[in-house]
Amino acid sequence: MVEDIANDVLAKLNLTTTSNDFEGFVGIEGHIAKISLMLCLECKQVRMFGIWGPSGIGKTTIARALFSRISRHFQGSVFLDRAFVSKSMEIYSGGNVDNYNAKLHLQGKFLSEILRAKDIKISNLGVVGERLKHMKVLIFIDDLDDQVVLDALASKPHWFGCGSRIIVITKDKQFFRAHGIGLFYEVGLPSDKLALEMFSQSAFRQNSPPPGFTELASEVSKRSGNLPLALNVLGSHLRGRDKEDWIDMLPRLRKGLDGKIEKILRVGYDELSNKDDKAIFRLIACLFNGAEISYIKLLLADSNLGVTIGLKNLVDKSLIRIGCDTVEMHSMLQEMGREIVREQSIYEPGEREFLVDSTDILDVLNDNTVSALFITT
Amino acid sequence: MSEIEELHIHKRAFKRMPNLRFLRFYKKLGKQSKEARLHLQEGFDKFFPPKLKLLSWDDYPMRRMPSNFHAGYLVVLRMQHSKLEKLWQGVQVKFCSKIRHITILPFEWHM
Repeated sequence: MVEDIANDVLAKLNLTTTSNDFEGFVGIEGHIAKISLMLCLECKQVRMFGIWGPSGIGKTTIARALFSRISRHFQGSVFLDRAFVSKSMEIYSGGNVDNYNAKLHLQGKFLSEILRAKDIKISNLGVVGERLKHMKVLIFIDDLDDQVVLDALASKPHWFGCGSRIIVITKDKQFFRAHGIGLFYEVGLPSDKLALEMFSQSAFRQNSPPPGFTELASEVSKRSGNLPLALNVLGSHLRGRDKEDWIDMLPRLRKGLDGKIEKILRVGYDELSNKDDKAIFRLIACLFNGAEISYIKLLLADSNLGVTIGLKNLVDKSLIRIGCDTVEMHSMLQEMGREIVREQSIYEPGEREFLVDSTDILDVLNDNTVSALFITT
Repeated sequence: MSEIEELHIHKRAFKRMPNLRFLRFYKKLGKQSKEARLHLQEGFDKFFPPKLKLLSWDDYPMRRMPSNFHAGYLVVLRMQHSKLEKLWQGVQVKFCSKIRHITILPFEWHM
């Protein structure tokens, strides 16, 4: 019944034309159909809507696919994520969003993006409402748990014209209550069958395992806890390898059965065959997540690291993704990378390759007894 | 620096970091934070890492660059919201050949 209605809505909105961008993402059509139905795109009122689910489950991928699919039904649209905020604030002095001028600056960037006009300067915080109240806009807010940023950009439904949709993506359900969002979609783990399809897509570039790999593939996908991020990382790692490699790999995944998904993801890093690729992975996790490729290349120009090929390899292994010339690493993978660096020297922070934790930095800078902090590039 | 209240930089803090390449002091975006108090011990800059490729320091509190600052390896310099009045003196341009990006926004800067 639900499927029928969903298909009907999809047909009406002409949403069924698939764009190539998200082809191969198994199960995405199901999510999009259900969310579209809940969004009620024909309804006239302004609606705030939530997408909720744990880390690594594919929220951002679903949101991006949905955005690219429905944005043409709106007069203006914008996808706000951390990259957008940090890019917008890059040339803003002070950096702290919690002041009036910073909010104005951010709102200016926000309006420029929605109206597709360059560098709109605004004079007071009422301007967003004035400019957008007759416009049907689509706003996605991905993983911005920051109250101040939200307040500056999308806190007031009456700022936006009839039919506008504000979609908030988060792993923290409390967030919806705080913002009065009553309607949300929960992204759950895929079924075993769907998980195997996802894994196969990543490992074999097809929807089911080739002959001889069925059992192995089911086993690996089960040990990934059916988590899409893990399915993707493991699938990419095993792509093109022969059966012996798969069998060797299985014991390493046993740990995954106790629910520690970090250990599963760690395999994706440990098994990188090239030292440079590992170094670049750590650099991104500690320093360059969200940075532009040209910026990274500039800073690593004389480091003897093969940056171009390294980035390509990491994309290939599903450890980073590159969008709009910036490098993005999933927060779980970033955490893992930082943990790897921490383990280089657990008790002597000064011996680590990078220091990112503020308490450790505090200790090192305040204590002249620590040994060196070597950055080897 | 939004996560901490006070930061003390010991005068020998950088002494054993001659190979430091990337140094960033920054405030997290959007966090409602108190200003972190920064205590720079007299002479902290005597051992300032000489091989920095990236120096990015929000709210740098001094009027001068660190005394032992070398630009020979520097690629990116970002000093936002700083109290800097002067960059550096007596450094020949040919020794700054690697610099590609400089962002210096003074304390009083508004849009």
